[in-house]
Amino acid sequence: MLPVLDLSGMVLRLGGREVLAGASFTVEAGEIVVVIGPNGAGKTLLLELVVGARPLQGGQVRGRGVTLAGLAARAGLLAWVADEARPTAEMRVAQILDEAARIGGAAAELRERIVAGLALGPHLRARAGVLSRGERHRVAIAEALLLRRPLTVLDEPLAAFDPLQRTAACDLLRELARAGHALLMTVHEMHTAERIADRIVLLHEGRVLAVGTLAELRAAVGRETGDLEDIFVALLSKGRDAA
Amino acid sequence: MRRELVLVFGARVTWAVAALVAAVVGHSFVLAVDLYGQASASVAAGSLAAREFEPLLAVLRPTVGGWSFCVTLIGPVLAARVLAAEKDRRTFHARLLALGSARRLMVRKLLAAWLGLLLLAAPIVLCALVWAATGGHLDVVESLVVLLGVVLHAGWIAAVSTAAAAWSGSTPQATALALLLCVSPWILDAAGEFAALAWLAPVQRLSISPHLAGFERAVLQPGAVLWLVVAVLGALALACIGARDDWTRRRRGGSAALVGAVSLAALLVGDRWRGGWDLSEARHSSLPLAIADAVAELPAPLVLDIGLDRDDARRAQLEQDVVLRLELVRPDLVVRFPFDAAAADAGSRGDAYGRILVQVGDRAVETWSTSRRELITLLFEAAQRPMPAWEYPPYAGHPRVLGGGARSAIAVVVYLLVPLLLGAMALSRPGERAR
Repeated sequence: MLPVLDLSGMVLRLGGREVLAGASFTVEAGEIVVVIGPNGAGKTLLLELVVGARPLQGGQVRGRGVTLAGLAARAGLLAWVADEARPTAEMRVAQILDEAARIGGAAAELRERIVAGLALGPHLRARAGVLSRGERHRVAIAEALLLRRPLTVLDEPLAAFDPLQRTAACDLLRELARAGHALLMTVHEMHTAERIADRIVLLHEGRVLAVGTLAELRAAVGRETGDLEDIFVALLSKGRDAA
Repeated sequence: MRRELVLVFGARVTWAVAALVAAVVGHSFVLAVDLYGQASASVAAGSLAAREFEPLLAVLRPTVGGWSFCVTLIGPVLAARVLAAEKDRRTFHARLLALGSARRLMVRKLLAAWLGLLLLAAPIVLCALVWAATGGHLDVVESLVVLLGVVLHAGWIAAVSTAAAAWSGSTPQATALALLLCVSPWILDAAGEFAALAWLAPVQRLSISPHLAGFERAVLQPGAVLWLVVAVLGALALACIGARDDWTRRRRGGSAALVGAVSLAALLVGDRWRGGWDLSEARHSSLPLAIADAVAELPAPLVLDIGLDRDDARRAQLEQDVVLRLELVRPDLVVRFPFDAAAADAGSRGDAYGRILVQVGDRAVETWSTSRRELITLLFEAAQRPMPAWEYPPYAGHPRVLGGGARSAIAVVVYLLVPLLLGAMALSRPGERAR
């Protein structure tokens, strides 16, 4: 089966500096792929290239085997939540979610599940503008998920959650993935990435250092145990040594 | 579309701006009514001068002028915000992907911005109703033509502001660019009034003002409507291109240049399409009917060589009083200004300054008068044809002196009630939490 998303040789230069240098990996249906990397690694820029928020300077973005050349092609495949996205402040949360559910043809059960998973129930009647930063970001995530696109791309979606909410949100995202939904996201916290990711992409200075499951990444650094943070440090050291 | 409408009408800033514009429009209306009343008092005895009292030009036009000035300066803030707010909130690209079409999103943004600006125009209608309610005369058809001009003007500002927002990264950038674009016609307009700016003349017709002038006199000109529609569609197309963040700069620039060139060509076609229908009461903006019919039959070419430069007030009067009326019946009228070609200063004008050469077919006569009747008479003289009787259809005029009570009522409505109502609407809208 063709991957939902296939990135090959993604290149981006900004101000004469190469900020992405040939990033390549795939996202399969029903898979959660998490991009991690130090600050300035190019995680957000990579996602922006995927969703078409920036022009691609090199490489290719394919969705289910077809090159995603235009907006319509991308729109048929993916939904996008930018970091710190703030949904329409003047609208009530329920209105925002209803509109997304209507566009995506989402059933009432899915809407309820997403509302519960993202702890939005108490805020449905509130205007989005009066919510806290974290609450607004959760509304933006719910809106994207209700569009029911095969792939949802999220930039730092879990940063604004408290620990309990994060657990519920991770459960929801896993449940959606089990139902065949693919997710590509950046995550800053290693333990969250470890918990939610099917596969992890380690990005450093615009280059993909490694892609794989946690077990595969451990194997890549020759370890049988150790958390993602240890593997991350080891891979970075290995990358520097190789350079 | 619901989201766009909520973005406009659910925002505090929209109603706050509407309250401000209502106060300015109301003030324009009160000043116009006061002046009209003072002038009317002098013809209360029913003299012939009463026929010159047209509420269209003396009351409605200044009220619209107040709106026009205000909406040019504040309208872009509202109109650009409809799109730019989503860029600030980092949801713009998500919305593009959700709808799957830049065109659909831009059309929604444009329509919402347009409706927002029409909210700002509501005080004009209210002032007209107040005027009618206090016994003032208002012709429905000519008032509707004036309002059509307002609607199209609002559409132009909405479209230009939407395009500016699409090409900008944030609300401050979008607002600054939209303001610059909306105010730029004032610079072009100045070219028509100052000899020092005569070098701007080739682009003067790219200003929106000449195309709105007919509406203000209740003259419906298809060319002006076409010009405004093309300007709106061109700006919409530019907005669609500006929204495509996935395109390279070269592709966006090339597409924008192409759209600009096509729009420019279409604007020129609209500009060349002269003529129209005078829908003012008693056809006040036209020549007398019999004269108009006879002028339409005069042989071509019909040429006016006007030896006046841009600094001369007689020239503006001639353009508005004679040229506009002649163009209604003779769209092929050629008007030339010999003093525009040479950078003539007052000392080098010579004896030819002030001379107007009236040419019909191969015959020409000259005059130094700028009187409408004199020039029309010369047209027939040059054509060696008899001139029909100069008779306008009966128009009594509508002088109106407002009593103290009516005047106070108007002041309360336009200075207090309407701005306060709109201000209350602004306060009832929820604010946005910063973090």
